[in-house]
Amino acid sequence: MIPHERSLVNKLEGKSFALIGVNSDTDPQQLKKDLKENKVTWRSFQNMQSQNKTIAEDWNVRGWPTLYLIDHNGIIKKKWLGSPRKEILDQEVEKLVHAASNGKTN
Amino acid sequence: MRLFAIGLAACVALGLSAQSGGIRADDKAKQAKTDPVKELATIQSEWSNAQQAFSKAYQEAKTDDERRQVLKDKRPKPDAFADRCLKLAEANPDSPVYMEALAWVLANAGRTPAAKTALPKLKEKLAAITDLSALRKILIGMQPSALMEAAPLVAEKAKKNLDDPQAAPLLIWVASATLYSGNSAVFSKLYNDIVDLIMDRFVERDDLAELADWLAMDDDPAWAEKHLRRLRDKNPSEVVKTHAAYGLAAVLKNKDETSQPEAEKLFESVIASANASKGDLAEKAKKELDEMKVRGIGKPAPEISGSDLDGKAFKLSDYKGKVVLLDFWGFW
Repeated sequence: MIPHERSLVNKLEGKSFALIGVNSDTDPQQLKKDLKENKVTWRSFQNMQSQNKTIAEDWNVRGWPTLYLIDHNGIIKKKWLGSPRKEILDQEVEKLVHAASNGKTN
Repeated sequence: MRLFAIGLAACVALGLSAQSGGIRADDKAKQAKTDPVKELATIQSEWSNAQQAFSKAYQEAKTDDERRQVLKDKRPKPDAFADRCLKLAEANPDSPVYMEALAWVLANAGRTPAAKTALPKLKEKLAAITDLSALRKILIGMQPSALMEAAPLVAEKAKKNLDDPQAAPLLIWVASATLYSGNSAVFSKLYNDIVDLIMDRFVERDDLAELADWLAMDDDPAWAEKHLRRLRDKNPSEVVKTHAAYGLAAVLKNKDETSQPEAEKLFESVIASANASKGDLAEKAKKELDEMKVRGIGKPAPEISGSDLDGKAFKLSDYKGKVVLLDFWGFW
């Protein structure tokens, strides 16, 4: 998943697109290493925001990864539980990025 | 098509892929002529005791460091148990224990040298069985996912005898064995072909509720949708129909905006269905409906505000005006 996301981010650089993570790793040192090794450049929330509160629980996430695709108006357009197929993911993302740059709402 | 391994993090945390360990199996397995059935039961219970001791220690660990230490020192190593099972099988080739012991090795110690020996032995034995009833009897009770490698030969036997009453149950077994095919194109294709065949030949069977559950989580939603619609229309069993309706709703709710009303209606039909209330399906459907109202397709994404991995505060709405792919992820 990460290599594909990296290429998606690179491909859409300068376009109206952002990949935002919610990361659930618990070992900060190991995470730092892994982020560097895997060249993860996009921003992530820490899933664990306080002792008893995680974003994943707030969002009722039932499996990892879970992905939401949100359009430029902030509307949820697509959801995947588990990794989507690369070609489907690209297609859906690019459709919305295209619509965003044309100023359409759909 | 295949399922994704949901809850992977949990598996890793529990150390299901054993690499190192400190607990040694009882080496004193005397090769005296004990009852092989009892001997196998002994090995299995010793293994499960070791597993329980490990998971207790893991749960009691308080810090990440302690947990890492437990993973390192206390994770049971399946090798010795697998060797004992293999020996037991080899000593009892004509006992029913033979297959059970080999299957245990594959299910619990798939990466050990013993498994490499056990797999061809098990396949050879399965290949020699011509009677589908006998084949089914052996396969029942064995963990299907551990026997993925044997699935193609079982599929072949069933496909050659589709009129045999045992053919359909065996095909369903093949589907369950290849369900978690990971990245294997061969097993992925076998899973798809077998499901296509079941849906083509046996769509009216009353034991397809499980298949509907699998389709609900398939990574090819368009293919799953096609089969779930057909299952709901053609299958006479209320139980299967309900599972198919739930599965179809689960696929449609993630599809697109125009599919939302149909997904809602289907979840409502599951809640209303008399038989669903017996299982947890109605309860799950209620939760799905609630979820759709808040985070369904077509709804505004709820705000997230929190800290990034460097501890800097930010908000999801900072990115309004851009298309956002929000990914719940981890390296684990």
